[in-house]
Amino acid sequence: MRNPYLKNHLAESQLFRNRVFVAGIVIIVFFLLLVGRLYYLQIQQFTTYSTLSEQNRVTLLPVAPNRGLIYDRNGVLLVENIPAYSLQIIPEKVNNISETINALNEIIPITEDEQKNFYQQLKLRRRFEGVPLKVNLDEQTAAKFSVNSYKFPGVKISAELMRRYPYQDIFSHSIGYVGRINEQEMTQIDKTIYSATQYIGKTGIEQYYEAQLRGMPGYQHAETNVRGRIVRILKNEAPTHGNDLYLTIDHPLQIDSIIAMEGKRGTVVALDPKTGAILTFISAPGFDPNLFVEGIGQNTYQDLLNSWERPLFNRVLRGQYPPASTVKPMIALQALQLGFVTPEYQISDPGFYRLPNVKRAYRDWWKPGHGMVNVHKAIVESCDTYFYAISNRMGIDPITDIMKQFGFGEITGIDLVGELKGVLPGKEWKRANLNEPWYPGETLITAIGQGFTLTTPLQLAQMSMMLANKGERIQPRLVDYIKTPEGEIIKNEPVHLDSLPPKEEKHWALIQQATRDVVGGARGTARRINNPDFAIAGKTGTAQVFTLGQNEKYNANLLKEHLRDHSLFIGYAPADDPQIALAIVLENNTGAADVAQKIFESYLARINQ
Amino acid sequence: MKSLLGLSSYGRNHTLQNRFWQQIHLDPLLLGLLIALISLGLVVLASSDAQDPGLMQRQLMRIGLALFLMVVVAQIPIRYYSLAVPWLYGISLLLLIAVLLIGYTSNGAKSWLNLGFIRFQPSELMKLALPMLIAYYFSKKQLPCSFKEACVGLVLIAIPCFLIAKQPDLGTTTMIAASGCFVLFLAGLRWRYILGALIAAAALAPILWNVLHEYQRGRVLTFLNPESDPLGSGYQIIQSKIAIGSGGLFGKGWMNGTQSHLEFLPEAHTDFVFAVLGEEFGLLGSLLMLILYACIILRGLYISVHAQDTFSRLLAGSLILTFCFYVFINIGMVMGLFPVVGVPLPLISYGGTSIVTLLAGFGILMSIHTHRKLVG
Repeated sequence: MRNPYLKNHLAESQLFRNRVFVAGIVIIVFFLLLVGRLYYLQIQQFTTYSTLSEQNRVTLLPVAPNRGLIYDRNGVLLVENIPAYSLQIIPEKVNNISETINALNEIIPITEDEQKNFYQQLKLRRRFEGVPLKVNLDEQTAAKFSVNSYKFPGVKISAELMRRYPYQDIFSHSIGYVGRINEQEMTQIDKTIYSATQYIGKTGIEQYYEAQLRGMPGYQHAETNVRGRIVRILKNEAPTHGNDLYLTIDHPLQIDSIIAMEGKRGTVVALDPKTGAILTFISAPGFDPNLFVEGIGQNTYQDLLNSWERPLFNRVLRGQYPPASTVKPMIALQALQLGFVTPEYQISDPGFYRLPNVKRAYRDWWKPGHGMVNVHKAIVESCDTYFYAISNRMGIDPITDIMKQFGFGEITGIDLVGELKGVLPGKEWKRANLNEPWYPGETLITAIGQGFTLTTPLQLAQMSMMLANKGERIQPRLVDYIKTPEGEIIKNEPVHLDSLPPKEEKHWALIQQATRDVVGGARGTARRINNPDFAIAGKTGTAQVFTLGQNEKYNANLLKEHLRDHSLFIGYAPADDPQIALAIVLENNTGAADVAQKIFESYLARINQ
Repeated sequence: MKSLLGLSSYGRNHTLQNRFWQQIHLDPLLLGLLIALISLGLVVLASSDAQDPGLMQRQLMRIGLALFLMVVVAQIPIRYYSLAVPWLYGISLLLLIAVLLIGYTSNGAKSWLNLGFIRFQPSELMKLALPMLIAYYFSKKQLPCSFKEACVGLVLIAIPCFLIAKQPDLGTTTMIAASGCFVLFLAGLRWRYILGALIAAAALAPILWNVLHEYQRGRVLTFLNPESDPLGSGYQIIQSKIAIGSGGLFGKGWMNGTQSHLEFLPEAHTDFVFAVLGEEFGLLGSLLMLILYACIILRGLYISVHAQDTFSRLLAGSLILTFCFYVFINIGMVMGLFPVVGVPLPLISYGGTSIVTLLAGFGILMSIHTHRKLVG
């Protein structure tokens, strides 16, 4: 039928027209599809895509807020932010980075650590961002580079604010320091708040008040291209600077206290007993916090960490010492209040005490013995035998009770992180921790502040405050008030904690008089610090670090330094109207009362001017 | 549509003006539409000029060359082409083989041939040679074509497609296969065969999947779900949709497209140029371009319907349908309707030799239309 030589032109033309018609329909459908899609994208989804386009285009560049400053109670600046220069390399503008670093090394020495750091940072940053090579240049070095900068395209000096602690080790344990945010902290912090900040409070007030000090970053709204390069700045949103802190610490007293310590290891905590405001906070030796801001070298850090003097150790918060004889006024108060003794009750002290049917002698510090001793004399002369005797009548429970009332075995709640709570000895404690029953002999040594009892210097200061206040306990604190950038003042009001179960006024009077006679009395253990200008009330203590055998004699010169006794003093002045209460611990040393005297003198002379 | 697009050059009275166009063998309506579209394209491209100052100059030179070639092609009567068809096809095949042996690679495909004085892609030549050959083959047969003839046609289509797929250049393969298939369709391939072929294609799809290159599979996968890989291969589609969508009704204004100027939109002056139009000129600008395309396609169909012999009809029809296919594939891709295939937007996208081939194709259409023996 088919004949290639006989074509039906009309039929073929008709067939073609039909096919074109079908194709035309398909084309129209497709065009409608495209128009529909355009309508969907550009009209219906316009808002969505418009937003996405803006998100693409506008990048928020965080601007670092200034960290809040820290002042003492008189307005002396203790922590500041100073501009620091850093040497930065912009990778995309440098042809050969290692050659550039070598050339720079000839002008400004660059350590291997710095290079290592730099190459690490290099991986994290974008090609057009400056990568710090050397930080904290002094002005001389910065100037030295500037003169030669024409030789180094793509290398620049940049200035940023850096935390600076002008008093170095003087406030190191109370104020603490900031350091670079580490990987672990990175997972815990809110990254938007720290987007422009490389530092975070690591210890001390810098850590506790981090949320107050850090502020909120501002933002530059920058138009950026796909690689993040800034094309232009659209808008600036200023950062909210951190709040300033005004401490309760008294800068002159802190310095005088350090001078008074004469370089001895130990602690001084002085506070205003009426408000709980800490005036002096010393854990000696301290360290230079600036080292941690700049990025402390591994060796320096190890040296500090391993030093036998333990300068990084916050003794005030975490040092746990036997309170020794400083507990005696408190124990006597309890014995009087509970009626175990009367003010007139006396014992005869031969220089030691023996429990019935026990051979072992509990020795008094004064070998000849104090003779006939009542409660007043027992405190003034710090008679151990008297407290052995009455504690044996009391048993351990009332002693545990009063220690607990004075805050032993629990943290004071000061505005710092990491406070330890010491050891509150007692039957429960021993069962829970040593799984042993309580022995009567342990009651005796607990009554003179030895044995299991451990307290932090902060707890001792708290006890001192409570003796001054007749039992009123106010939470110690370091920050007096917070000042916002707008000048608004947020006061850190004193927190009055639960008071003791009431004690009779006459018992308080007796105890306060006795502590006063510790200094003022003719036979007081601290009579050498007696002062004509104002009355001091206090109690000395000597904490044994090393237990002597039954027949051995303590001789400080024969013992290694770290086994020698600690010297303690708690007290307040003026005795009639306490303005300052303190606790002093000198490790393996003597003279805590002498330090106290100088501190009292310095403070009272100044506030009474 | 006939009245709108047929009136000016084919009516009852031949005016002096019409005779003039007839003599220089150009179709004024088609020419006008092409120049309007190309001009719109240049306006959009100029927005990308900031990133590459030489871009406009090179594109203008390319357009000039292409228009010149179109005029030359239009001067040659269609019967001469039909004589040359087998030769043209043969030479194109040889060049495609040569490309696989001695060609050089650009953008991952070995598709260029360096003839010393000029570099070109033989696949571009095949874009014209293949539909011409298939149209020539069927013009010698009685239509509608038989099953056996259709098979022969398919083999003739498959050979160059295979060679181009080897380069590998999926986009061009698709376009050339489509141009051949359009001839088959216009030659009256029976519906049942078409249906059968579609079913067979669906069945063969899994096998084809295994033959595809990794990047080609990736493109299909990201087309199906662009959000699955927003930073990788889905990125282009997402950014392109953002560009078009954020244009809204009126667009962000010429030169103000942030997606393209801040380089979020990749390939902004080549395959994704339509997104720049959508972003800067909005729905109105996009519609204007679609209307220009529609007019050109309608004019092309009109010319093919009024061609006087089977070869001309099939060739003209195939060329214009292929052009239309280009438009759909590209714009559909840019708007996220089709997978990303490396197909430029015809007559708009910067670069390549496609604009030369396309305008040469329109030259053939004009030749068909202006070398008719007028009765009357």
